[in-house]
Amino acid sequence: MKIIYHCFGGSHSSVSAAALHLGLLDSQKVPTEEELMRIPYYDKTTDADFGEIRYMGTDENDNDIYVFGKKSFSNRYSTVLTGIAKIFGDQDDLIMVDCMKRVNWSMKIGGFTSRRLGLTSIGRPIVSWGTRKAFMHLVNLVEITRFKISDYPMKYL
Amino acid sequence: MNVIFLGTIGIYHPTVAAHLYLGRHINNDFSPLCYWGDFDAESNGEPMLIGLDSAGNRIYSLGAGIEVGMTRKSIEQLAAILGHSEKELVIQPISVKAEMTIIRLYRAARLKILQRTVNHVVSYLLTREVDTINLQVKELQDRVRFD
Repeated sequence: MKIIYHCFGGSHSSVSAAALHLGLLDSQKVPTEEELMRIPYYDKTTDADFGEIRYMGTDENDNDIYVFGKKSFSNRYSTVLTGIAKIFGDQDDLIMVDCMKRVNWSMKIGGFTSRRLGLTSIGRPIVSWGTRKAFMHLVNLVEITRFKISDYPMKYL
Repeated sequence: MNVIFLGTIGIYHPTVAAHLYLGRHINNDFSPLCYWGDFDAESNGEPMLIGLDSAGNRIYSLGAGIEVGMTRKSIEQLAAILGHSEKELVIQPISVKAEMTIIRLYRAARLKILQRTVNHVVSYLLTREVDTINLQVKELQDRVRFD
């Protein structure tokens, strides 16, 4: 199965959620800024990465985990991609996970400052502080996703 | 093979393109075309199956909002991730000069009372661009050689 975590920029919340899913972050402990920075793609994307579905790894159940940034598209982007999977008859092989509801203002402001304005030294501490603050919400999201795929597709999401 | 005509608002110029591709005769009235001006289908967000061509290829139209290029990139990548080759999916972006006007009109049509009027205005705008749409359809036919 392919699991795609997505958010605005594909740089912070989706990447953190994917890292949690893959066990790159310990779900029992709020990570430090250094630990966040060690995650692939965390606060490292550019404008060219929007819409790019990036592979993060494969979990212990052989599910491939991806991330991507969809800009300000809401659930529509998920519907479009799920619709494409349906065309191929692969709808049971794809799960789209929206991380935007777990994003707080610190992440938005810090992410914008770091990625869009390029002021990394100012934005990065703010976004990593916000990520740490939202960490348990992201843990919750990943746990829900893991729970859903445990009896997927018998119980549709 | 699946062919997707991709544009900002799927129920307008991409739908016209898909019908042109299928060789359907189009007068100045688009309203009989399936999915034309269907706001429910557009807000649903999934590709709309317009029909099958003589080779059995499935022809869709799809709206992507202002980010047509980004959506195209994501769709092509997703197809590859799901293990499908380029031969199974062809995407043809369709654009018209009145693009931004059509987007603004579509947004205005969030008010249900305006939807019929918006469809009429868009229809008027697109009748002047059928040749442009036809060129893009021909471009696809030239690009892809169907068996």
